[in-house]
Amino acid sequence: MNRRQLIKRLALGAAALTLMPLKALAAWNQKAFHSEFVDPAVEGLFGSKDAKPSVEIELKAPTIAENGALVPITVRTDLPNVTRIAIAVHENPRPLAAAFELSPLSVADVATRVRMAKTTDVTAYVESDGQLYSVTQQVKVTIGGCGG
Amino acid sequence: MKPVIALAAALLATAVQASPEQDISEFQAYYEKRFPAFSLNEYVDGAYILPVYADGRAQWEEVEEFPPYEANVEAGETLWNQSFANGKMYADCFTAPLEKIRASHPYFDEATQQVVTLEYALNNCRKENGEKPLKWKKGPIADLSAFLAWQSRGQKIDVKIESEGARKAYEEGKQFFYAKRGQLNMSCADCHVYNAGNKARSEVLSPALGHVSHWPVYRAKWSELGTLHRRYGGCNKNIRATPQKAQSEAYRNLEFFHTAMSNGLEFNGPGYRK
Amino acid sequence: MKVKAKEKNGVVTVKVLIKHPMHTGLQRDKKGEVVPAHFIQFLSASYEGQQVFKGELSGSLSRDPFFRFSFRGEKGKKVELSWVDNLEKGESKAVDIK
Repeated sequence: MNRRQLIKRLALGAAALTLMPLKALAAWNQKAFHSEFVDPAVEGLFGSKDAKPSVEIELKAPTIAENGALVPITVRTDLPNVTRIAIAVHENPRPLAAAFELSPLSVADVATRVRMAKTTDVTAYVESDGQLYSVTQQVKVTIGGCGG
Repeated sequence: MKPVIALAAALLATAVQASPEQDISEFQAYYEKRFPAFSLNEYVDGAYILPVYADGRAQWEEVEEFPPYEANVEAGETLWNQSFANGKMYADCFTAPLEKIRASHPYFDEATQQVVTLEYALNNCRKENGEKPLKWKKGPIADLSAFLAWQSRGQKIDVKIESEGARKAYEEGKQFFYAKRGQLNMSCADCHVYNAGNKARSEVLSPALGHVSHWPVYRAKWSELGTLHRRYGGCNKNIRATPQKAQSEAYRNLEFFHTAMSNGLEFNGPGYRK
Repeated sequence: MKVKAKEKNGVVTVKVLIKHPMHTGLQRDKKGEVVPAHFIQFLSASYEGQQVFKGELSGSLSRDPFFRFSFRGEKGKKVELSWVDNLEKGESKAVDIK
């Protein structure tokens, strides 16, 4: 199917939740995703860069990543009414890796695999009851010695 | 007079040279002694079975929850089911049932007097049916190999070395494995036998036992699926030796020996490694 | 796109694996030429006509990306997934919740 049909489909799915203009839904947040630094990226996504550190977010990431090309990340939280979860890899050329939108039916538990250019902090952001929270963990990225 | 001398010479030759069965037995016994905690079949999971790799193993298990090679298996299945221009299909080239195709390779082909690996057989099949050969190290050949490996999961590794020709190929592969090469003047055995479990720079050296069971492998380093011969080339480059060409006679003979050393273990491909 | 959807204790866990290069557009190939950006921008899932998950994604995700998410749902029903990349290629798939 082409993009127009697909976007329409996505929009119809979301229509039950909000009435967003089709264009806004279709536009990929280039401003946030192309941002070279975490703060403007987060601001571009959430409208604010002020996230409250929270111990109620579980960020599962390796202490030492086996390979920076494929780093498994899980974000879980019991915070109420989670609307969005985002993951940022601070020293990546473009830190914002993904932004997930949840629904009232969702369980706040998402996992994915990120690319990491080097050892740096990884932050998980959680938007709960309209408030932004975060937790950060450093992930070391070693360069393997036996490539090929 | 001549026949007696010939017989004596033959007996002497066999007495000096251990049989493949003896080699395999000694090879496997070496690892049992070196790592008494593991049963033979555990070696199919490579370096991840070693306690020093516990952290890496945890990440590996996380990826194995839904490993990227599953997408390659799916792609391989599509390719496997596509007919050639002449209407024939890959299945027409193989006599074994689907779940035994990967498991029946590598084998020594008496007609052509050479070792046939799975990838070699796949491209031979294409050639026989007027199709262009696939590249050896990645892409469609790896996808096909992944699909067939998936089908053969759990099948026992059982390389047969029964003829003179097979024995010769086996001995050449064995020689390659134990020969020192490259600027670093190391053999496969130096790292993967005598130093299995030890560290080389930041890496833990995997045991050669079980090495071939899980190929083709999705390596995070490659961010894609690659074949065993791709890895052979890479490994040779690491010790600053000139890599052989994928599916060259040297690498096919090596694979023959390498696989035979794991006779009795189970195939568990495709695999994921960092 | 490979999708697995399993229900346990009223929660459906969906796992998705998509074969995709996820090129950032920032890398150069062996010849020194820029590899054009080619990555999945959106992934969405719907259940019983409702969107239960939407991912806005980037090249900072691994090649052949993987996603896992969960929502309250029932066995036997379907979950529908769709993805689209920056080159407007995409795929849709509906799977039964097991």
